Amino acid sequence: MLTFFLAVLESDEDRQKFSLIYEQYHCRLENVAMGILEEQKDAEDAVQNAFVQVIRHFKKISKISCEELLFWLISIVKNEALIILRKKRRVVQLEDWEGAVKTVSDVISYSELVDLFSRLPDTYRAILEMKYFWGYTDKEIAKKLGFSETAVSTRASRGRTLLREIVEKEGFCT
Amino acid sequence: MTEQELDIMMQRVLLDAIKFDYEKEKRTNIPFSGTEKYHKSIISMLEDPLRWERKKSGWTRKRTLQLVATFFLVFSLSLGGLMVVSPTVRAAFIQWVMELYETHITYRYTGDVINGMMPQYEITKLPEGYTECKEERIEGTNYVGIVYRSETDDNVSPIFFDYIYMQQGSASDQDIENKTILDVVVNGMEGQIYLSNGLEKADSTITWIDVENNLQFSVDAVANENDLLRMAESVSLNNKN
Repeated sequence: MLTFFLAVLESDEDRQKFSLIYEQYHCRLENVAMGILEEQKDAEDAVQNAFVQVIRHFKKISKISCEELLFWLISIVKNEALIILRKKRRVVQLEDWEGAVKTVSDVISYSELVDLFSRLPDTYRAILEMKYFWGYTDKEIAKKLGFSETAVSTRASRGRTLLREIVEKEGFCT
Repeated sequence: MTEQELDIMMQRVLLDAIKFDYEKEKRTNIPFSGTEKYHKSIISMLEDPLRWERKKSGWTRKRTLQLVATFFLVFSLSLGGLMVVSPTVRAAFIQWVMELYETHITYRYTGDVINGMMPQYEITKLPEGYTECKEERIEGTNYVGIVYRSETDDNVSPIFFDYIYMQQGSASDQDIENKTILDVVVNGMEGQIYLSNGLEKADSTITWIDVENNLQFSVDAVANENDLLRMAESVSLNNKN
């Protein structure tokens, strides 16, 4: 895979596009990282790690529309910040899955579905985003986040089952 | 709803959840100013994103390039003799050229295109506890990259092993900043060690060229000269595959 993506950023056009992405979004990404990590050095690491991911996934990123790109980038930087945060914390925070999904029966509109997913624990969202945005395997995600592979599979599976239940109940379609 | 439709729906919902958060979240009041080191790193990233990414991740990556049909100023593999060759002459007599730059060396290949499956090589003498991380294996049409990680200790550096057919249109880079270059012989084949100059946790590289099989091999690891050579000499065809 690396053999192919590296060919993407070889041209001046791609490098220019990459610079534009940086110029346009770095302030907001730095702000997001700082908001989560609250320490300058950690935020710098998160932003740089995020741009490493941007380079690695540049082929895909260069095809994302301008309207959506900011949110894809926020997903990357948030997850990089979460990785840093998890490495620093000695105490593992509880993930309240049950609390987050207790209103599942109330979801009747798409905006409520989005609201419900926005309230899922951070680690669940990170796992789902890494899986569905970037195609990482459970093992790769486990290594990044410091979970066991089983823990990643369980969370990914819960998220998918939740979505399936709601979608089938309410008849949302793509 | 099919599995594929559910995948698409999941992506949409997750993205909309990020938008939803972003719109309702207050921006932080903690200013981000960026240290001097950070700004230098960003300048370096914008100058050459691939090179910056490579340094960050420690890979000696292979890349596919279009060869420019022109004259190259090249160094012979022993770094001894300076010569100028035309593409025609180069293709007839040698399978690669080395281009020496201030910060890196590019091995640019000129051999024939080889079709079919890549041969399966492996390092047979790894440090204790290291095994191949199958998920990270990269198999291209002319390139194989293998990562070995310690099963027992996540904090020790991985070992990267790769090999590439030296065929026309391909090239690979080797960083030489803060590196000492040593000529070596690996099982009778000429090569170099790019030894990191005393930086802790910095990768060193051993690379060698198998002219007979038209392959260039590399091993990157946080290791000394002897350990690199031992791993390189243990590389052999894996007949199990």
